Amino acid sequence: MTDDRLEREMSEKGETAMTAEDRALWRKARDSWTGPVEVGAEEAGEEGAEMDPLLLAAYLDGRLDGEEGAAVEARLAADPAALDLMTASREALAAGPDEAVPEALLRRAEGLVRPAPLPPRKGLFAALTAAVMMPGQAAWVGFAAVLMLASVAGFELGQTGLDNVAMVASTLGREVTLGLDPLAGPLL
Amino acid sequence: MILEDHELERLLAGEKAAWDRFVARAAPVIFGAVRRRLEPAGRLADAEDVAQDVFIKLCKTDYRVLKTYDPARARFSTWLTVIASTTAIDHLRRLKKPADSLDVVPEAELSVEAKEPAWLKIPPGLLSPRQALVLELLYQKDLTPAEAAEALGVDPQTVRSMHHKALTRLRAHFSEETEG
Repeated sequence: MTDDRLEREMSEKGETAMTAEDRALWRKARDSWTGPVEVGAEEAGEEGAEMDPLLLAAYLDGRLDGEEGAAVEARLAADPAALDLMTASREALAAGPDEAVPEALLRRAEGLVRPAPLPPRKGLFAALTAAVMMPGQAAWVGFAAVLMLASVAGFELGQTGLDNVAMVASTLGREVTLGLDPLAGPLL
Repeated sequence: MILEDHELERLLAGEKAAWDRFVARAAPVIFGAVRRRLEPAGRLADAEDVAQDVFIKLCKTDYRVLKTYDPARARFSTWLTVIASTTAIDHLRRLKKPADSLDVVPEAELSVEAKEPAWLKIPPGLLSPRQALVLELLYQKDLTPAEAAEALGVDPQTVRSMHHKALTRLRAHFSEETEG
């Protein structure tokens, strides 16, 4: 805003007009008070500390009492970064929410929080179900383990079957031999 | 209303559905505040990422920042706007590296300090906090008296009166210094 416009506005209201001299006076004051001058501003707080967002929000909402409000204003007057934050927040509040939010932002923000995991199941059936439902690589490992067990079991069963057949064949052969050889003695 | 009290409890308990509802309601406030701060600095393209940073800030470390909100102190939308504005200002500040040549930095970005500017050490008793604040808003932020009044939540007439008294004190202070 130009000094002329400001001066005109103030003059219309019957107040002392703002002039370029006034602006220069304030700049001069600022320059002389910026830096290692050890005076005042104790109520403004500790330099370098970030302004409490909740305290600033309470100030913007007009919810602070006289003492708290004065402390915040002292901080705002002394700390240009806090003043920048206050004016930016005030402007945003005055303008209101922006309804044209990109859909991608909504999806990305939703993805920041995942659904809570299901409570663990109990018992043998649940364990078997979990094994079958294992995702990705774990499922393949499970499948391979089951296949290997089946192979070993099959081999063992097969081996036992062959042994039984051999035993039967051997017995039969002996009976046949007894039947065909007249010189052989009694079996029992 | 962005968030009812019982919804805040569900949100902080980690309920996914509560988070999704919160995102839908808070996004217009967050994105609006971020966009409004970045656009004048020529960084509108960063708005989506910075808004996402705000959501990350809110939910990370078991909702640590969100847990600092107190409904008894301020409205949720106001608090959220302050958080979003802070994040946008920090983003602009991070972009300003000392090594950058002035030729390659857009002019609009030069208005943002690379680091937080030094505090003013106002001599005690010279100006009231509000008087100093009025002068900052009028001369440093270039607001009109009406805009300054809105920023302070007071009547424009109060701003004019404060301005008049503050200047009178300042003139006296510096004339004393000159004479001394």
